[in-house]
Amino acid sequence: MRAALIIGAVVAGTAVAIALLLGTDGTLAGFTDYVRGMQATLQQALVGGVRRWQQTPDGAALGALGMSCFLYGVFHAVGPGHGKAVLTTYAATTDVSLPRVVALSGLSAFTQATVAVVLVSVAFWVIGASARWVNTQAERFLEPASYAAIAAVGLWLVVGGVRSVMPRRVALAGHGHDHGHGHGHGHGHDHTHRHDAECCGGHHHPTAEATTKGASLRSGIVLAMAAGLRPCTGSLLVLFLCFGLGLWTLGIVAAYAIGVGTAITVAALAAGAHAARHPAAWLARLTDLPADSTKNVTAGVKVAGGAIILLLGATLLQAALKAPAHPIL
Amino acid sequence: MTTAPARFAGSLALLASLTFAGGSAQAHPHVWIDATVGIAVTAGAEARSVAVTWMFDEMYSTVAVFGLDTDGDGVTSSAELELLIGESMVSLQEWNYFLDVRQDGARLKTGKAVDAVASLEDGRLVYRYTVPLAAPADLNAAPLVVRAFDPSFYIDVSFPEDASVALGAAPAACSARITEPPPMQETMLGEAALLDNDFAPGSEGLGGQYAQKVTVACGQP
Repeated sequence: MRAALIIGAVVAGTAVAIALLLGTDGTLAGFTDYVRGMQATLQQALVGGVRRWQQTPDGAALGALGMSCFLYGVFHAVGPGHGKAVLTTYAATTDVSLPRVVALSGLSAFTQATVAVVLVSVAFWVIGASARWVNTQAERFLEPASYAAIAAVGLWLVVGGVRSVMPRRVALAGHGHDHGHGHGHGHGHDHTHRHDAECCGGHHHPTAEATTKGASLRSGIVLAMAAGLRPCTGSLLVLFLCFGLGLWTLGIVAAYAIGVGTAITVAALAAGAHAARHPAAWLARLTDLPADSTKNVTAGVKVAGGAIILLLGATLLQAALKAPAHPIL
Repeated sequence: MTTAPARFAGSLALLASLTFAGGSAQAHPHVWIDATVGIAVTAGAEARSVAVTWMFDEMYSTVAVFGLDTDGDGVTSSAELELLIGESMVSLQEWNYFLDVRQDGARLKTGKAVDAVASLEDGRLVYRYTVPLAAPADLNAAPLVVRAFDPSFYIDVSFPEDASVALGAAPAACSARITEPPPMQETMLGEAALLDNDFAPGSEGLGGQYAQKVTVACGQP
């Protein structure tokens, strides 16, 4: 009876999650057309906002531009994107907390905006290069680097998930082993550093689980930054537009306003994935499963999530390396 | 114990869906082109060439022409834009200028673009060029189907209205119509296409899924 309830809830939750995620990628054709139309409309609004600021640089003009940038970010993040896929997978399959899911989404978008600002600033002021040159560099170097880093974090999660199961079996024999294995998870970090992470997590004494959580957050930070490494072509264009008109500050404000829109959208989707995972965990408590098997499932899901991130990164990497340069952009 | 595998299977299903949802990298347009095509059809209903007009969106236009007003007179002239369109034409040749011309489903060979001229009109960069068909296509035999798309879908090329098609000296029996792509099937195909990264000269990619069709028929239903 309980088993049936749980299976039913999981199936329903999964179906809703799939519908939501695929829906945002366009299975709902009307929605896709709407998003497509909005992307074009918002880009026009954005140019209009910059022109308006040129005429009268007042608060109203800034507000209008900020709003169109924000919405531009939202609508671009709603469309297909690897950053969204990677972070939602991470939120759905690791033990990361909800506030951290939101923070990681923000970090990813912040990284993306910062890379765009730095890249265009260097191109514009130092090299004197064109927008096409910048986009080509991003395509040729940053994109493969981003995908390779994503794949590496996927592998890291797989290894971490496997290890979190392995030492615990040994640890059943005696508590002392936990500490010993804890060192094995260090990834080159010293014990003090790891201890800080545990304190923040609210754990009273180091356990294998706490150590895994610390490693998991670090992997999340690297993952978020990796996903944000390749700047959005839209942000590059906006920055070039503003810099070309001599509106340096406005360009930077616009790039980060787009980032805020992206961050909020990705955070909402990742939080959705996090919530989809949560009822399953909550229902698991209703069963009389031994704690050990629940932990095995948790580790198994984490390994599967890591494998998917690894696969996604590797697929995108080989595709990016194979893809020819765009003839115009 | 049976619930653990069930839960695991459920999670895997979710993960799998996430992977497919994320297969497409940056597959949404950042640049928009309003296009027109003029198909040179002779009085004998033979199609010889396709004259293309591309009108880029305002943001791309502004960014693309920065610094090209080399004589500094405040107007970016066609002469000043020669280098820009020249470069584009060279790199687009391999891609058949994003043009896909078919008869009976078979892609027709097209040649090197001629008469390429760029201009700046109302703040928008405009490319005009003509792509000749390698051999004349007899429209009495079968309709001609023309599409214009960027396989990567970085650029969204569209024919904004019926007036985007002209037919030259075609006989009265010839007419053109624009059809929209089927709305529902694009996603799964598009995702699948992107998963094996169908982005290369001659491929459909995601752009092909979104492309409108211009069908020129002479007498056929």
